[in-house]
Amino acid sequence: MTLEDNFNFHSKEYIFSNDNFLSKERENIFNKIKLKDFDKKNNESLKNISFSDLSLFNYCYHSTDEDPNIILQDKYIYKINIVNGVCKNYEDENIEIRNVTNLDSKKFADQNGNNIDDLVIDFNKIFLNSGIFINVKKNSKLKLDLLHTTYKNYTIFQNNIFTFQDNCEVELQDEFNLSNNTINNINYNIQVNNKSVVKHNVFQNFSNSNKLYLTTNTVCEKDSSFSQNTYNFANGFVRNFHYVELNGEFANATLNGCFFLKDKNLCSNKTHIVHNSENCESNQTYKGILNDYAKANYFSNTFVSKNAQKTEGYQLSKGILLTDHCSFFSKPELRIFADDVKCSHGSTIGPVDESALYYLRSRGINKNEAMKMLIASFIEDDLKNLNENIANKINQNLSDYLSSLR
Amino acid sequence: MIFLNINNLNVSIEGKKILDDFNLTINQGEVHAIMGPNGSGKSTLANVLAGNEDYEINSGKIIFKDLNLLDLNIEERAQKGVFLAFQYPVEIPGVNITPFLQSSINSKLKNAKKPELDNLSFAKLLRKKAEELGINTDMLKRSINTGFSGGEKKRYEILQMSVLNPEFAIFDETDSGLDVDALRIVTEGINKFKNEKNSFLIITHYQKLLDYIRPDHVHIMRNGKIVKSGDISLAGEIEESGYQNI
Amino acid sequence: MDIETTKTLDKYAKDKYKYGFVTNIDADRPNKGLDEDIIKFISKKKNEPEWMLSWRLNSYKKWLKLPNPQWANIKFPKIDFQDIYYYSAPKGFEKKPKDLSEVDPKLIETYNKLGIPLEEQKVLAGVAVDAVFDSVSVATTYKGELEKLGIVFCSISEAVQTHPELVKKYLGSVIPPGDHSYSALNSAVFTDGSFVYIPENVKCPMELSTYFRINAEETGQFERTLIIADKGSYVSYLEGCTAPQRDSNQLHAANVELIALEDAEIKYSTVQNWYPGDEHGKGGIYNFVTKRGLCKGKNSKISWTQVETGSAITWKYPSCILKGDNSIGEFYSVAITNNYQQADTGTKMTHIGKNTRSKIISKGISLGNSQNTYRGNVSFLRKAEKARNYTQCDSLLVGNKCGAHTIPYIDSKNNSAVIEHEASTSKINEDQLYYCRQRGLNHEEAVSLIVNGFCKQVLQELPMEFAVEAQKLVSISLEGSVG
Ligand SMILES: Nc1ncnc2c1ncn2[C@@H]1O[C@H](COP(=O)(O)OP(=O)(O)OP(=O)(O)O)[C@@H](O)[C@H]1O
Ligand SMILES: [Mg+2]
Repeated sequence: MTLEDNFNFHSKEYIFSNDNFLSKERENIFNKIKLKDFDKKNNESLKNISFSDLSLFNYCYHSTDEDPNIILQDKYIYKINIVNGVCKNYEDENIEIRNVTNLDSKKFADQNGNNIDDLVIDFNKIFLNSGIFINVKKNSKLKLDLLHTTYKNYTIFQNNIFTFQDNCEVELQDEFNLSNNTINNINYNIQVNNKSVVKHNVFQNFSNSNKLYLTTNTVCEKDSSFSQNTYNFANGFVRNFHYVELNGEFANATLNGCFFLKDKNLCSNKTHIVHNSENCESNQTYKGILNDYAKANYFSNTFVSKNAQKTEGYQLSKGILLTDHCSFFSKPELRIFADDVKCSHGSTIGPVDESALYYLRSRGINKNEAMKMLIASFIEDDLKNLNENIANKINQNLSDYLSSLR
Repeated sequence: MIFLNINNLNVSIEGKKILDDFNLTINQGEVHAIMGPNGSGKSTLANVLAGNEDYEINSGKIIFKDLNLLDLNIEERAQKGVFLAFQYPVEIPGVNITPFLQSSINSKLKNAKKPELDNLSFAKLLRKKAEELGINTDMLKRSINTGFSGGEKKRYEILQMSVLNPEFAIFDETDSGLDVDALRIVTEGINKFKNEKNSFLIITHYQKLLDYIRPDHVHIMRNGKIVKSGDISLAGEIEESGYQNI
Repeated sequence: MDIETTKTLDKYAKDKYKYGFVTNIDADRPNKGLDEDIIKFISKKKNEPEWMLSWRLNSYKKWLKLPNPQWANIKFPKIDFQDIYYYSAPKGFEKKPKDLSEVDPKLIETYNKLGIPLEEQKVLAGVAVDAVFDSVSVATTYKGELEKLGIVFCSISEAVQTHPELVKKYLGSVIPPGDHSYSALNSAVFTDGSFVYIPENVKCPMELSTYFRINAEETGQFERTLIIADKGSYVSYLEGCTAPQRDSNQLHAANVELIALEDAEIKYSTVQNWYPGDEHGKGGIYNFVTKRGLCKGKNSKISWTQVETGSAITWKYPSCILKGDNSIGEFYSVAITNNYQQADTGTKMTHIGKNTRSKIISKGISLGNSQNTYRGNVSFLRKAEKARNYTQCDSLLVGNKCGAHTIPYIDSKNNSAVIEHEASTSKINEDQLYYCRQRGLNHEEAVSLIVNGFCKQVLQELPMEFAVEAQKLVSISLEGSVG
């Protein structure tokens, strides 16, 4: 179905179709896309994405009859099931969880205000059909496990608003259980208030008929900390775009990611951290292994505005290419407008370290094994800080990936 | 002439008081040593004398050669003859030692209204001094402190002192991290350089250096103050029983 | 920032441009604006053969269709291409003068003032100079000596007459006219520039150098340089440039093409000191230059070194296409921006052949209200077995009104190739300043020393004769006089 068909046929089904302001905005964005009024070639948000995948899809959405549940596994561990974009409404003294309703349009209009030039987000705005609202109350210490389940052929355009009030300590985990032929365009707006510490682990593994466009958009206030790790073992297409703004002093943000690609997998990654305040620190580290015909890109950007003195911002990217047919593109940017800063980036792309390989083989380990050891060591450091459950999962996936290597 | 007189000096950094009503007088030709536990303010004193702008002078006075030292900026003090051998000499990549030292000595000559040294005579002087100190002349082709080992950095500080010929040299733990040979070179350097015109302030944790150099006075510093002064025997006491009893 | 640094900065900012004088000389120039007639006029002035004119006209047609590149991190008002003179020559230059006695003494005096003497007795030892004044080449020194070795070093207009087969074969072979709008524009209206051909196995014994001077007001300078190093040869070429101090902006859109055949090496150095505009950002040169080298043969090498201190806007990416197996590309750059200058500069290394290697060292220094961008593209194509790239770009920021930007594009399609990229941005290290001052250097001297140290890796790549000059230029760009 064409973009226009989808837009016209389903416009009543979207959330906020009652809201004039948002409808108007949708129409504007829709016209921009229809008239191709943007630079397709140099558009980072479209890199490695087939534009027709984005614009020609079969819009298929209805919320399920099944009642998605929330299980309190322990007092502080919330297992939240999200089925076709919908969860159960829930509240206790720590947390409030609910689905977005048409009454939330004002809130969404505000969120739409932040100017990220990203066409995938534009699509999300136009076709929005679900959204989850989580408010973690002051001083809470929790773990939130989100499991996203999407049924066959379904299309999810979800915009979530998560707020972590002052002085929280939260471990947030996202996993995806995608059936077949699904499109998942999921956008998070995350607000981390003063002194809160949020760890976000994202685990991606699904079959190749599915597509996931995951975007997070995080704002950190004073003394807060946000650290994210994404692990991409998916066979389907994944776009991981993660933006952070450090708005309060002494805030820090870490965006890490690993991806393991094979066959003809594609993946597009971006991290972008804006320093708006003094004494903040940021880190961006992405590592990827590419096999067969895989193709990936990584954009990173550290932006230090004029008044963000005493900033420290570091970036690192590493790509390992295992065959002659895969390719990796990286663009690590530093945009610095304040002078009292320490910023750096490093980027390497190449084969597995030959001298290390030689060393291991000289100790009697066969080439294939040695290769696997080196690849595993690549993310070893990242696994240290993870809880056991997810670390096991990653190890399992990693060994599956490694055993698929010749 | 008053050579050096520090009078009721109070210094703080980021609001934290470090030197507390500090007093010290050094006469021309004298060698003073300062010992004291970590964090007692020894490096602070050295940096304040050199004019480091990170420190806040809350009150007090420093007279150096009848001048009000606190009125002078870093390079003016250096040109007047204050030399600080740093505890942690900084690396300056790409800046070659030889022309750097030449500008340094010429800034001093210029200030004293003396003729400056041309390339050739400076190169000769530098080579001579390096040989005296047993410093490999290959090192003179390198960038300032870049890639030097800890000991090499210290030796290079001594070389600079002997080239610049300061009236007042401050050594901030120049003996730390030196092997025996280097320690001998450094102490010999200092001894050779010592005369009735030059004065020294030597900051150290070890008696060994003082045994070589034989200072005229030894001071013990604690919490930003001199708590005890004496002769070289004081250093021996410290070596034996630490700072607790003082 | 401490008061002293602020003071030093203010002093830098008020610094005056010492090459800003104007030579009063009658110029021969057609009306402003660009159309086919102007191109025919230029071609006729140069007495060009038919093929050259039609090449120009074709380029012009391409230009009409091409939009100006938009992606650079620079801001400037739209250029009115009809408000520019496309040709200006000192009167009496219908033919290039045979020797200096035919040259207006005012011109010779101009070059003397710029430190480039043209008279035989005074010429720079070991450097052959081609002096370009607005649209024409005024004189070329050491011509005789070079001819004995079979080296051709002349203006490109001359080469069109004397070596048409070489010009025909190579002109536009590295930078096709349709590459982008500035290359199309240059191809249509280029007026003069240098041509170099080094025959097989000849090592050119002296530096070849071109000195570009823009004098006439509202005149664009569109020079074209073509350097061909035949098998096993070597040449080192240096380009310098200045312009008078004027309130209006002037356009400079040069194209430089280098071709290195098997085992040949070309070293190309630039000391760019065009008028940067005043401390309020008024006036100055728009320097939109395309420089590209082709390592065509096996084991060939092209090395670019640039010291960019001038121009209101610099838009420039000297690049290497590493086609021959084992070929080497290098790029060494220092870019200093002050006041309201904008620089978007860097390089592009395209690895095509096996075992190709490239190295990029870039040092950016931003002061005042300036914006300084490094933009670099390194790509390994599928066949670039065992190719290597090493990139290091460091930026220094002095003051918090300026910006430093690092925008690398890194693309690998070969799994045996290795790319390593490092970059850093910081301010001048306070501990280094303290150390130098403790040894008696004043603040200004200390800054200049540290910045020169920061640039050392690049400056040491310049030919000896110019390294000292460049070092001075770096200091001057920072302060009033050399420390
Ligand atoms: N820049 C600074 N910011 C905050 N505190 C500082 C700073 N510099 C020094 N201090 C503090 O001042 C005190 C004195 O430091 P100083 O370096 O003078 O000690 P020291 O006697 O030289 O010690 P050591 O024997 O370890 O060299 C210490 O508590 C130190 O932590
Ligand atoms: Mg100390």
